[in-house]
Amino acid sequence: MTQTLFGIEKLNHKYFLFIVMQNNKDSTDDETYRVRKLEITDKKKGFMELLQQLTICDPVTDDEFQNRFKELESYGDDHVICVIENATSSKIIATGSVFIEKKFIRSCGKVGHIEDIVVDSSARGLQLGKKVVNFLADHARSTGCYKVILDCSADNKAFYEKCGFKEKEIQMVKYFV
Amino acid sequence: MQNSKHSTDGETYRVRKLEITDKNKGFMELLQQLTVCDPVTDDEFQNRFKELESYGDDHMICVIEDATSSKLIATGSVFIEKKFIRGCGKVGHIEDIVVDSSARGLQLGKKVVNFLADHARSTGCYKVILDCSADNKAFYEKCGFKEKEIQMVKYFV
Repeated sequence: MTQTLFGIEKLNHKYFLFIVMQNNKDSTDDETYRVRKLEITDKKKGFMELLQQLTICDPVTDDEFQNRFKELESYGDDHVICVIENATSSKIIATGSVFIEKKFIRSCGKVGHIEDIVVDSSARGLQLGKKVVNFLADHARSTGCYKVILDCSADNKAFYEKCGFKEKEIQMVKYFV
Repeated sequence: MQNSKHSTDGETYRVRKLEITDKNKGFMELLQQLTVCDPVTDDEFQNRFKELESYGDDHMICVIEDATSSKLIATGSVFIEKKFIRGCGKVGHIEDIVVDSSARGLQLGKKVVNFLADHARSTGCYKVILDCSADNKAFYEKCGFKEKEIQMVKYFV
């Protein structure tokens, strides 16, 4: 939102009209809701609690978290988890991940797989999900992927269409537990 | 009682891991039956093979070789994704399943899918998933899969 202030000042017998346009912090301001990579200290900022809003996410010990973090970090650009932190509360309010699959088809091509997108229930309607998805898709493209794919419920189809995705195939699952 | 060699005999159609020499056995030609698969040089193949081999159990490609022709007639891959959800759980992703058009009806696809799903389970995955066309749904249901969500895609090229 932009505020415009008008003022008139008299200087040296002349009148000057001042127009000041103030760019207030917008709810989607880049500084307020910057997307960055997950850091090992994010466990303290509610990362796991956020994931609980997505699906079953049993608490893990600090060791388990750090081990998993380091495993994923070792993949470098091939596995990126991003987050958005609320600067005021220092809590993680959005997250998503993408990993890069290397194939033989498509001239030894690569495909990005987006997973685990979640936006905190108190932070909906701020386009944070779109920011996260775009960040991950851009990362996949920058590493040379020819496409990026994801699975979602029918309810979420419209959201991903707004992110530039199109429905393609069906997902099938076999559970072991 | 004579036990004749059966078309699905374990010896004739054994599932094994992809080997670096499989480029000479028609691996890329088989993949062409699945989708766009431009020829690659031996170097490109070997580089990709070594990259995938470095992932160890986290990325596994399997094949079935016809012992008579020494040609590959089926293949599939599974990679293991590590998550934070589900108690730092793991999910297997099955990809690129293809059976040679001349070798259909021998349950080779099912052998490949079962091999990959078993591998995912053995590495501790809580589930294994894949995407497929509606036409192939019945095949995967026979392999014990159930339809769950929809796949969405964004192409860059």
